[in-house]
Amino acid sequence: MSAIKFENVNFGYHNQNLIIEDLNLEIKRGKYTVLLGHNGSGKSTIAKLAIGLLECKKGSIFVDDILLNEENLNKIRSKVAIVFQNPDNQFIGATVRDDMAFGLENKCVDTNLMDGIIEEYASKVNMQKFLDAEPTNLSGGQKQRVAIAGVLAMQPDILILDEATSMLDPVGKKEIFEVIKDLKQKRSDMTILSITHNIDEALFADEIIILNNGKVVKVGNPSEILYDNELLTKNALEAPFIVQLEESLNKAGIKVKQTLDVKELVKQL
Amino acid sequence: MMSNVTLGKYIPNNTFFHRLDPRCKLLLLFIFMITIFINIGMIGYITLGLVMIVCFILSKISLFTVIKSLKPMWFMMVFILVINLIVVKTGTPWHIGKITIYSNAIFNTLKIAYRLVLLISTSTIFTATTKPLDITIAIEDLFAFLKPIVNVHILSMMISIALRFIPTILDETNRIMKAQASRGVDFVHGKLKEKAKSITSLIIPLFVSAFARSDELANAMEARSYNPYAKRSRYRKLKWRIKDSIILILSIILLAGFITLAVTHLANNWNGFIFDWIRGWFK
Repeated sequence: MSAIKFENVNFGYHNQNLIIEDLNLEIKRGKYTVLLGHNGSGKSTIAKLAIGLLECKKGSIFVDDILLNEENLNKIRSKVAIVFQNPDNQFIGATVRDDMAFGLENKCVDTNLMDGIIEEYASKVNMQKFLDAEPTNLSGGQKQRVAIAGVLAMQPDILILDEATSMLDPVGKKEIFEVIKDLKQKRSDMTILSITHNIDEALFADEIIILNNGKVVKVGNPSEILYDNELLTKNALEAPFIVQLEESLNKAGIKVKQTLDVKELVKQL
Repeated sequence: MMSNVTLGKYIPNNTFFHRLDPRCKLLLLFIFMITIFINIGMIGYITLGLVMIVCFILSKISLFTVIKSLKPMWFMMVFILVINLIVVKTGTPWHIGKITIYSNAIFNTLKIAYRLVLLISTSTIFTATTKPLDITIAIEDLFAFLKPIVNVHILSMMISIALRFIPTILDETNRIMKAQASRGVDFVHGKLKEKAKSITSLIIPLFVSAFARSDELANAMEARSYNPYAKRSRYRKLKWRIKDSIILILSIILLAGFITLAVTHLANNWNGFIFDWIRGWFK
């Protein structure tokens, strides 16, 4: 079953050349999928097409088997939530509480229920202590956690993270990874699509899709993709640190089995 | 530089004024503004000044904040004084060296200055005691009757977003200024033409970034199912209490009193008496 399906999709900005041509892509339901590609490979365009912020020139897009068109747009947007790259530019409310309430207001949620929902989802991302804080008083990681909580409060079936960690410092990145891991465990029915060029995000993915020049190059699980140095180099990507470390250890004569888990590697050593 | 702006800044507290309903405060602001521009005479202005002092005490706004908020009007005051000194040739002439100035020029300037001080003080009390978000909700509620003509919600959302982005844009301005200064742009020294040129190097990137931000924000809002024309529920609801009604009624009575003063020309009669008394001091 597919959560998002692109069938022969073409897209180009204005009258420029097509940046996505004849794209066929399937994001499986209930899986954590990472869409990897270098800058300008068309990753963010795919996210915007999937939620109807951009309109494809040719082809069809299905979200939860519903055809994405003007008529179904609101229905689809109630199922899909997206977190963008810059946390500053998606903070709408004057406080965390107000920002989280924004989506609920749009969904016409009863005012009396809002406080409960806000507190529940803020605690899911460990932001319950900051509910009355203003955006300027939060770190990048905290702002992005608020953005995630804000969209989770809308109870979507599909969560798209469009380079959600690219503007964050290592601490902020770690905070978001923890939230994703937690979501994966607790909301196994939720489809998470992470669009990134940060290969470390792909370590705990169920499926990885490599994208180059608007075309799918390869689809596979982490062990198939992340150990394929030739594939990664061809697509301007680099193997994750743990893979590089394993290779270096093996070259140095310290034989270790392939594992993408640091704890497991430590155990082997 | 940016943190020095006090006019329009919310000061968190839990005073009588902070607890008043924002709609009531907005109506009070309108009433005070109307009163300030009516010719209510000396007695009226002194009463209004006393009311303002009481408001400042009740809202616990420091004198320093008030003085800081009046800072931007100094230039304007000097300008008005110069214009009055040139134009007004009535009243008692005073000779300072070769220059002759007239008492009415000074009195007119003082009157305008006093009105401006009252105007800025009223706005300061309002913005310092009301959260920006509450202001927008109050605007949306009070102007709800305009809904068949204008989408009031869009207007209030625009104001709310503008207020929300002020600190972000100020940060961005600081960042761009530092970046340009590190590349040799001098914003402080030089001739007017050079200064204008250096400001351009700030304005253009600032606009580009503001447009990019607005585009991203629009996407984020749309992705969260925002539709300004669709029905929405509201998280923050304002509560109108008895004290709001009492304060509003008192202010309306005060306004009615001042209007009566102005219409019956009583204010001018008293003015004559007070001016004569002041002139007596100068003779």
